Amino acid sequence: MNEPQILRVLVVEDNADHAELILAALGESPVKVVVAHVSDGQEALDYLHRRGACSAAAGEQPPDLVLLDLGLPRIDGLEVLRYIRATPQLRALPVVVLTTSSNDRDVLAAYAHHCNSYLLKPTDCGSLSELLATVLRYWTACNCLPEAAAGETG
Amino acid sequence: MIWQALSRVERSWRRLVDRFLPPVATGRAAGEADSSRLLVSVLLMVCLVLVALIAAWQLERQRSHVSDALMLCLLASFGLALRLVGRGRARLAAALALTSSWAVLCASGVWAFGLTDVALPAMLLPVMIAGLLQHWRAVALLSSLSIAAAWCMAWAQAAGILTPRAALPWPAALDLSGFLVVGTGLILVYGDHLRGQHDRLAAEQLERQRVEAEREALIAQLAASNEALERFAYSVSHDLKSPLVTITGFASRLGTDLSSGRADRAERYLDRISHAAGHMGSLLDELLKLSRAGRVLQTPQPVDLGDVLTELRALLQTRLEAAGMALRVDGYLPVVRGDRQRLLTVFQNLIENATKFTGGQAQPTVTIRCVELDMSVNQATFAVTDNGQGFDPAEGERIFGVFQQLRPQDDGLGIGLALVRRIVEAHAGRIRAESDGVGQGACFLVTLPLPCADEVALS
Repeated sequence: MNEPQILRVLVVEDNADHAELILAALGESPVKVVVAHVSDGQEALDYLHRRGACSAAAGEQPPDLVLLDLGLPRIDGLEVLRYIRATPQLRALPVVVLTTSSNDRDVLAAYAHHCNSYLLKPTDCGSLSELLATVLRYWTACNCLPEAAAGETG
Repeated sequence: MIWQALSRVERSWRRLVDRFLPPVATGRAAGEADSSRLLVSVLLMVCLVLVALIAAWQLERQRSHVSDALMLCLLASFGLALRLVGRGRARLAAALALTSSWAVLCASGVWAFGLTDVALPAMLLPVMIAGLLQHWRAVALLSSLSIAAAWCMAWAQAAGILTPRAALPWPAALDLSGFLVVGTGLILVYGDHLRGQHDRLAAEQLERQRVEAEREALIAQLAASNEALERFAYSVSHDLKSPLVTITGFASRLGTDLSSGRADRAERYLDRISHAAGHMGSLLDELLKLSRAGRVLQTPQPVDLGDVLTELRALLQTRLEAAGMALRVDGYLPVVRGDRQRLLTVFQNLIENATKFTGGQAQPTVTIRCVELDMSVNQATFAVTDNGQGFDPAEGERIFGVFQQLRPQDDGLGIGLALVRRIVEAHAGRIRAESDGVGQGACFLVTLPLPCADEVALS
């Protein structure tokens, strides 16, 4: 088993209630996480580039995982995703879309822009924590694989 | 006295014309159709008189076999021409009749006046060409000129100025005139008939094109409304689910807390839950309002927008004062056609929208004026212009979306402009928003139908 590591997660979520729920769920997960939260697409890009108000909050390295909502003010979620995939130093960043839209068009568009997975915010009780715990476990495991680590640092 | 007698004659003449040449219902101007019918009838009358004269004359004099043969040829060709007209080959018929007239005239010219006198047949060539071109007035004019020329020549011959090979000046001229007049008259009558038929066909073609265009427009409208419905369903599913995520999420947390004996956060969670539930309730209310707005409730009637704005000024007074906003109506606002209450909602929402987004303007103003009056499609375009916050031109379409707000901190649910668009489109109108950018003010262009002519008369 790999030694326990801290996963840095960026949550991009404009709805304050949803953000609170996601942050609480992440906090409860068995995987240790450092969570940063931004509330629109522009802030997300600023965070990833360590610019403006986000320069202090952001660490030296890009986050290990991005939880991205789609309907965002200023810059839309899909646009953020497209930007990440088009930027060489961010391209390998794992992006999990977490949204309320179950519309095929959104799912297809998100995968067309190379999101790593597309998850629906649960509308029944009790599964957000489990869902996010699973996601975190998965990405922690991925991060421990030598290729993934090499891919990310290189 | 004389004038009265003349007008009576004219009236009875018109009655006669109406009886024998019933007017053809066509798209042409009535005056033109009338004048051409009158011309034809006059010519027919003249030719009937002439034919009677010729018959009387011929009975009294020695008839020549040559002239009889020529007459028969001409009659046969006219008969054939009539058959052709009956079968719808009118151009061919006109050509046949004119060519045979011309040929017979040439023959009689040669017979009567000798080869040197080719002026008369040559004069008929233009008549023939005019007939081929279906220019009926030219046919009438040119054939009268030819007749005059024939009579002049016959007179010249009788007076000894011309010396023909065979001395038959007057009968030849008479025969010629008679046939020419009959032929011209027939051509004109059938030309008129033909033109009526042509006009009817053209009208039918136009009607078909109109129906086709109507159908295309309907299909396009259907496709557009389908697309709007899809967009609508998408927003609804997305935005209605959002509070549900909040409710179930906090409820679940509350459950976990309570089962583990913690109650300190319960109040906050309950507050979030009830807030989200309340938000969902208002979303549903607005959706209901929106779905109702798509149906025009009352039969469309003329609506005086000037009146509507006077009413709105009173209705929105407190709101306008609170925003410190001036509402101006520039120039005259025409009467449009629609559901008054719904149209009031349109302008109310647009004005309220302006009061909401003044963008910190010291002298916020919203101006309403009519910018375009297109009588060809019976539509008027109104501009609701403000000097407020404006928007990024790229967002010009998004602001009409259901639950769409350009900035999350904006108050309201983001349904006002969606409602406006729905009402305008239910009136078969259009709306679009223009802005030069954030801080540059916004302009909403609303196109609405104008009342039909009879409705204006009634109102």
